[in-house]
Amino acid sequence: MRAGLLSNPHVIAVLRTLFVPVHISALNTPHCMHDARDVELLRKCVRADTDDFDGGEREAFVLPDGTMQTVFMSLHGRAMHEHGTVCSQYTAEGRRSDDVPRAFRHHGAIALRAVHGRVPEAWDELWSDAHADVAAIAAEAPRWPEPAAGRQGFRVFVRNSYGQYDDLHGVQLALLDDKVVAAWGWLLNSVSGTAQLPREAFLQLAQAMVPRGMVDTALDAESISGELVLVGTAFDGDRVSGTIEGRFGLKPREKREVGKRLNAAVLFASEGRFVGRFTWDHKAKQFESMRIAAVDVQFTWKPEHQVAKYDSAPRHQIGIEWVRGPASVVR
Amino acid sequence: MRYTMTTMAAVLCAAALPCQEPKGLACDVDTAFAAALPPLAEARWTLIPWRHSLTDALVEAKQTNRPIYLYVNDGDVDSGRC
Repeated sequence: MRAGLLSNPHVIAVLRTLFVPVHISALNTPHCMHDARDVELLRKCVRADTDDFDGGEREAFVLPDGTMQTVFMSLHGRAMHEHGTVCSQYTAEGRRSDDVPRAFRHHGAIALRAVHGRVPEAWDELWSDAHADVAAIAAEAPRWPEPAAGRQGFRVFVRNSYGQYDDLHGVQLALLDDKVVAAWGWLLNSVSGTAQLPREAFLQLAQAMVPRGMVDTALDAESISGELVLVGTAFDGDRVSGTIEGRFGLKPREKREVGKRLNAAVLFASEGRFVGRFTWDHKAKQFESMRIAAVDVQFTWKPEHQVAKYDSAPRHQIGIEWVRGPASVVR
Repeated sequence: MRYTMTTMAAVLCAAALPCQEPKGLACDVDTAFAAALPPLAEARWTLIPWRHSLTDALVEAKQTNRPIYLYVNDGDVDSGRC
């Protein structure tokens, strides 16, 4: 996610205090919207002086009476109908520029004046580094997605390049049924002391490992190869500790596999090894800890057209941990 | 919270310190895992109390007399996909 603006502590503080923050998908990906009613509502907002919301990042303040104000893009530092670019949306450094909040601040003040007749005092106060709320947010740890109560599985972190983008990232849960988890761990009782993750669960994990930048990549099972294996090395009563080994290959063959937004879809090939460690409790039938990383990753994009000379060097990094809900994270 | 603080520390250490055991399993796992986490400077958006229904948010905006900040993108903001 290109979240430089939205990770600014001042922006977070004013959103928490003075606005109702909303994220929805664009009209080109209505299946990604959480509320189907929003398709028609957003469509009604399409005007010559707003935007078609047909893809890409867009921002706007909407008044309580439903009036949508100027549509802008902070990373460009301008309204959508204006020309010129203040910041680069393609590089992590550009997205963190001090100029990024400029358009947000300009249009946010206009929205507040429209609602309250003036800018509330809190608005100016929250742009100060000295404000306690801002300092607290700057010190707060990110909140990664967590399973619901009683659920467990993998939490998968991904970072990768994509075209001109040097650093995109995402985090996603791949949860498994308790019976699958129990059966997987039970395999450690075998003479070999190893346990391979069942193929269906491996496919689920692999789908969460895909590089970001495209919308809703869903690989065919035939495009996914590899295995992930627990290797018990220390047996202490009900507890088994050990290493994690394996390999993966993600090689989509059809463009439909790599995204619902076809003009952003690019085929790729990624393969590498898994390394990791775990502790399994036979009695509780659950993991006490697990951490996995992809190493020796060979990653290439396969664009239909010639790669632009300014494209970033390809990279695909994957980190995986075991999580159990709620708020019970094992590593 | 304990986890995330530990993770952040791991990220910072990974960025600042060379691997102490370049051939060691623990070092490979932890270093590679930390490197796959989103950078903190682009991870705080998770602290925003996002609503994912514009329709419901309009009702809330009227009740609280607050403007909506609408962020539209292709796909899901959390997962980087949909």
